[in-house]
Amino acid sequence: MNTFKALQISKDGEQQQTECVQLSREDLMPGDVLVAVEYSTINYKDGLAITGKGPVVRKWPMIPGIDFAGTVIESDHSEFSPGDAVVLNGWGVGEVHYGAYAEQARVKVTG
Amino acid sequence: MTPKQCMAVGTAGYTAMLSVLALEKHGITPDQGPVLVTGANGGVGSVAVSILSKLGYEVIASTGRTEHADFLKQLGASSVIDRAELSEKGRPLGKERWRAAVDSIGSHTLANVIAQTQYGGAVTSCGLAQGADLPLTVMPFILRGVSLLGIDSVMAPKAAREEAWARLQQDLDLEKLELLSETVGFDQIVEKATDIVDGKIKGRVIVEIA
Ligand SMILES: NC(=O)c1ccc[n+]([C@@H]2O[C@H](COP(=O)([O-])OP(=O)(O)OC[C@H]3O[C@@H](n4cnc5c(N)ncnc54)[C@H](OP(=O)(O)O)[C@@H]3O)[C@@H](O)[C@H]2O)c1
Repeated sequence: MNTFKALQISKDGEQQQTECVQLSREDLMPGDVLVAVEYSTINYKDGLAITGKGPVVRKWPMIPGIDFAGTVIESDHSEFSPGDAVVLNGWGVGEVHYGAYAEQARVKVTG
Repeated sequence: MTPKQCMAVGTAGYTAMLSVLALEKHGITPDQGPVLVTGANGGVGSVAVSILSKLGYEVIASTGRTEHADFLKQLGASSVIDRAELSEKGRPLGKERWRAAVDSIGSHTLANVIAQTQYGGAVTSCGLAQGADLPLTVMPFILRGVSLLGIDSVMAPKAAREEAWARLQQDLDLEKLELLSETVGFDQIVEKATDIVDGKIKGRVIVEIA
């Protein structure tokens, strides 16, 4: 898959916009594990981010979504290998790092 | 749990588990008295009701949507109260009604919950669905020894996450998880995100991405 779909929110002055965009892997933020996202969910915080009713997003534009479950595609980290089933909750994903509402996500491994 | 079930749990459900673990660590046990769950029809609330009932606690569910009382009883609530009882400015100390509580609402609700907690009890705070303020006095703390326990899921260390997910496998009934979740497609994210802020979502929403 060269491109994949993502939900992107951007800010033009005070106005916030939401659009469905096509991204490529190069558009994702740096990280050490690339994941094919299968499922996500909607938390209250995702609602605040998308509607702009709470100061959740701290980097623009952003792909919201603070939770995902999926399969590792590529990994530069010893703890993860392609094919591993993974789950992510929080850590600033969907707030300062591109998040779950995209068919692919690249994240940093902490701790 | 399957990837889909993990997302039915999500941050909301894992935060519910962190809240229950915090009460346990404080020494709260089922024989001590009932546990109140506020925002019971919400994500954190519905999962908290399910876990606590499985662990043998008597659960009092507080909700603004009492029409879903049967749903809450299916999840394991023993009784359901109207959240209006807790949402206005209250007295510094009230009648002692529960031993512990899991709150995701904040503001006057959390203040009233604390003011009505039994001697030696504990209340967890993880959310701000009503507001980020907490109009409270120290009375429940200094006269009843009540404790307020803060819950953060976002930056919780790996060990705490592993513990919570291991306990979810053990203490969350998958039939109840199925009952409290609905699945939507990518193109419904914005609609459901708007609904959750408006307090219209019942339980948890799973999004099928690919
Ligand atoms: N600290 C953390 O790490 C963490 C993690 C997860 C969630 N949270 C926070 O916890 C809260 C709940 O999250 P969630 O995903 O469970 O959201 P949710 O599914 O929308 O649940 C919130 C529930 O609160 C009740 N509610 C809404 N507005 C209210 C009001 N004005 N007064 C009283 N009750 C009200 C409603 O329940 P009823 O219809 O039953 O009354 C609603 O369903 C949010 O503030 C969220 O940001 C924090």
